[in-house]
Amino acid sequence: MCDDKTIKESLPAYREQALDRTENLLIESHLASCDECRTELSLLRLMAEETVPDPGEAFWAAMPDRIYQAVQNSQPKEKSFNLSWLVDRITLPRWTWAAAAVGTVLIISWLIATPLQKKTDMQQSQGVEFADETMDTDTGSVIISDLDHDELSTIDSWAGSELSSIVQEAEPVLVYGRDVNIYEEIEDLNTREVEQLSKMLEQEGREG
Amino acid sequence: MHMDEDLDLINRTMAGEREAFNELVLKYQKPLYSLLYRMVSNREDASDLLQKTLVRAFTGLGSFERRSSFKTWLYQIAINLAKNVYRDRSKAEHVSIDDVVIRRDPRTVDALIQKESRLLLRQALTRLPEKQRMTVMLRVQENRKFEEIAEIMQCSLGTAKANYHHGVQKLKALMGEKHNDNTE
Repeated sequence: MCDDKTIKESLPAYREQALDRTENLLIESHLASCDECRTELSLLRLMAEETVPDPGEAFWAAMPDRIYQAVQNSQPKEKSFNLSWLVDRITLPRWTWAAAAVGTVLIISWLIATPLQKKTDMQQSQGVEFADETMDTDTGSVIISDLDHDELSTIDSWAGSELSSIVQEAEPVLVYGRDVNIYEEIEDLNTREVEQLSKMLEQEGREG
Repeated sequence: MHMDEDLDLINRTMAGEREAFNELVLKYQKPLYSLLYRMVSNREDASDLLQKTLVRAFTGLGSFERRSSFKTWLYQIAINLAKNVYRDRSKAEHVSIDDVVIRRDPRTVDALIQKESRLLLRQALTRLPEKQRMTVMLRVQENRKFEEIAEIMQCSLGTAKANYHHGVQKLKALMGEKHNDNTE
């Protein structure tokens, strides 16, 4: 029994005449003395001679198209735009169209109103002055030209009292440049400081 | 070079070039058909399997990782698809050698011997374990090298060679057994 696996592995290549000259000679010298390998080579030749029936040129020529179509059919189809799909969804009941119209009007109204409100809020926050005839108050706008004589007198007296109190508070600042009471400041001085102040005033008086 | 050509054709096919697609089909349809026919021994099944193999290959072209050759990848797909058909067929197939030989009425003794040997061989091949049969078939009938067979069968080179050795030894034993049965 032959155990030369290298020779046995090379027998198919020997049959195919795919070996170089040295390898060929090695196989041939082995075959000359090995019945088992000769039998194996005959078996390989018998197997290799087994032919496959040719289905014919028409079969081969049609194959690319047949495969191409089969591949195309097996691909997941892409969703294309379908007009009937759109029409089916447009034919809605009448009430849905009415509801949609009302909704549209409400949305448009809201969109128009919202910017105006925002603008008013912005003007308030920035202290924008209004027209001469209009005053903005917490309760709303008042047009001066619409007021009668009594109402104007009331406003006048209110404004006069408000102004006089403002003047009283502002007088020390206006006269002395500081928000202080000069008499209270003099009362707080000690004897020495009063003497120094007196001397300074006399000196300023002499200098004119 | 051969692989580069295929990769170029694959890239062009993936880009939608129909000519490249056609070229790949025309290039590999015959070797694949031959392999499939040897596996299933039937023209209709072989044609059907050829179409399935090519469709599966081209629909899954993006999954071809290009680590092996395109041909090896095609062979893997073909073998996986043909395995089930082959298993069913090998279970169902019980050919009476005597019946076939007598029906064909060979005119010479040599022709009779030749035909008998071939029938014996076909029967013996169907009785080999699947991996051994595939390996012997790929090496002897499809002229694939052991390295390629290892890739196609997704096994080591050593396993591919071992399957070949065991397959050939068993084939010889089966044929001798059959021959003795027939001559008794």
